[in-house]
Amino acid sequence: MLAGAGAGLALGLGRRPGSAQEPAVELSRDYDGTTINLLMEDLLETTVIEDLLPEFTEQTGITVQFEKVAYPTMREKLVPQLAAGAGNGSYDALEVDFYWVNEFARSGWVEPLDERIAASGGAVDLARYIPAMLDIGSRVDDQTFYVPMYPYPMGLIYRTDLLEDADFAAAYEAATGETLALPDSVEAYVAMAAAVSALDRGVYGAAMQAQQVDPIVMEFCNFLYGLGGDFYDAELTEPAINGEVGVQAVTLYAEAVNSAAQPGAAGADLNDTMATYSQGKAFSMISYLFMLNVFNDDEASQVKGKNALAVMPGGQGLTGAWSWGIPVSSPNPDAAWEFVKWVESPEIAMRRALAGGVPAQAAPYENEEFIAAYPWMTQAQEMIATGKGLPAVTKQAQLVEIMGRHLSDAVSGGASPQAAMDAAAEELRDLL
Amino acid sequence: MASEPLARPLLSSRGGIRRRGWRPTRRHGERRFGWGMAAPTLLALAAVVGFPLVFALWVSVHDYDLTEGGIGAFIGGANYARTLTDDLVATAAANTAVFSVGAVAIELLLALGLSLLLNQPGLRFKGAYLAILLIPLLVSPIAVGLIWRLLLHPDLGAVNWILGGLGLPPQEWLAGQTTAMPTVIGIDAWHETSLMIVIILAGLTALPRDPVEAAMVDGADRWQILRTITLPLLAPVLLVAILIRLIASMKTYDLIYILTRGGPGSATETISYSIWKAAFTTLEMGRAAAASFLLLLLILLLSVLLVRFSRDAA
Repeated sequence: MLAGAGAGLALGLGRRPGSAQEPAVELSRDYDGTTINLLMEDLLETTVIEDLLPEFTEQTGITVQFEKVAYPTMREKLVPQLAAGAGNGSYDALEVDFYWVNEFARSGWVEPLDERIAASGGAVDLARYIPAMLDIGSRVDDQTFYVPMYPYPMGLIYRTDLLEDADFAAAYEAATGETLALPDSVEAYVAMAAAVSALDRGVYGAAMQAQQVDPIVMEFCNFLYGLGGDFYDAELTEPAINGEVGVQAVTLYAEAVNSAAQPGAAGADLNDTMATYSQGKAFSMISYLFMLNVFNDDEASQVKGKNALAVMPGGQGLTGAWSWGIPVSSPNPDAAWEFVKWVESPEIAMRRALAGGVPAQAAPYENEEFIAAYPWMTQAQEMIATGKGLPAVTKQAQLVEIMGRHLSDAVSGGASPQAAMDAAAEELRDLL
Repeated sequence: MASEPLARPLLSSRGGIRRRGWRPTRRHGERRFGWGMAAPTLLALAAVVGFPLVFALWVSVHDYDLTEGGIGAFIGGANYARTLTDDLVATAAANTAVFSVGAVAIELLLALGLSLLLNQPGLRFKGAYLAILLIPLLVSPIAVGLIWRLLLHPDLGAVNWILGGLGLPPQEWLAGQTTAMPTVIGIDAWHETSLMIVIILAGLTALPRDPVEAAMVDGADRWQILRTITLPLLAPVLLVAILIRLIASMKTYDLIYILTRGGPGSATETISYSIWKAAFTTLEMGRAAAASFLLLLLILLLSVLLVRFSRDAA
């Protein structure tokens, strides 16, 4: 059943800063008194939305409850609920990570949203989103299953103070014979990071996170995509990871971990790299956009205001994304759709952006107030626009597990890059 | 015509012989009362242990992948065959053996040594020593993993900092192909030795003093007393301690999850972690159930063997 289309009391959202030219989104009061439950990752974007929820309740009578958990436990909690059967689950709407989108959609666990979107009268309009977001976390097999929520692109974070330090640059030039500058390719990045580490000035060339499973794969994707490679061929018929580019990417990645990164990078996760970088011990980091906020704003950071952002050397990196979906097991799918309409309305999207969120929609990036508050969002928009997700196999989480294991083997010397990728390709073939 | 004897033997329901005119005795009544009292517990056990086991067994012989809807076709032993021929499972089984034997051996030696020290007559502050030694037992495995991850952090951890102070090179600990498994074994030993101490110390305290005192009168030294009296008398307790820890270590999942995620590569992947991956990463419930049953059989076999050894030793 579609979400109370035309029925009930329709309300326009109040006018707020940044929404002056946006049409009001009509919300239904048909679900007054309903409580909807959502499982959310405990991060800034969630808190920003949570702060706005009383307005949604006031306008619709729907109470929204967020169950906030750490990322590693989310999928384990979600899957049994999703498989519970129509209407039998605990969650009414979902926050879906980009590498669950195919699995959830093709398993029949989430509703196709095309009809709801068409009937929303423009309340949800996919044309408002950065196109890459739709490829990464919205469409599956030519159907729309999700509405993009928030991207987390990866790229190069680097120390501006060191890049502009004449003494540091001179030492670099004396050691390498080359000028210290932002690299334009993956090869140049690895060479630069290794050279910085070799300067022995208490700064590693890169803070890296090569712990299996998720950290190493997310970081490696940037090396692979930056070289123009991929896990499979374009038609998704054969693994390509053990081809020339794939093996080159693994070789460069292992070289970076073992000669350019902090000691123990092979077992480090995001928290470890954050600690290394924020203590001023690293020149650069291939990481998530949101880490820039941590380094520039966090009280504990020793490199506050000394960091900048660039697209992954080579021109393309990984863009992760969260999207909204409505599970088939949702007890209140129509009320949940009202929430999605509200939270993705142009006005709320703009207010989320101004409060520190990363917009999936294009409009905030055109907003002067937003860009003035977060100047690096211009680079962020480019990272999102050029970014790529994971191959569209159904079991993307298994792809990450397979790659994590074999990459870790290559990085720790358990297998050569070619042997590790040959073994990975054997297993990746089974996912097609 | 002769009449039938009044007390003609009859077979009771349990195959025993009872006589005509049999009446419930007081003992029989007590037995019925006992069964009645135990029945709720037995029913609860059947529900919470028996049903999941039977369900898991049923799942293990069906094609059950969560992404493909409900439980699929009956496939007999295919999940078992696939598990037994999977190279990664073989690696995980070998890792589990190394981890279990390594960790339990270290824990046994440490716990035996510490228990003998704590069991010295007249030892002062025994309660304080025991309390300190038992602290690791009170910490959850997840917290243990997180604490040791911080201590072993290659760049910022205290352990490498101490090594550096001693002029020794820093180690990668959890990230090296050759260091990861010994490190995980060491952490498990730090955590679980306390349990062994509790068991062994209880055993030592309960040992009769007479043989030891007689040996001392005969001039035996401490080593002779330990070798010929204490250890043989303690053998059943040691075997129980080994059995408990061996079974627990074969099921270890939490430490691996927190410390290494089975890595680097598959260097620390254990059977339990492999089962978790099958269930929650690949969502192949049938295969995960089959692997779980194989692990259960292995543990049962081990338990039977150790109980038999224990009886022989006793």
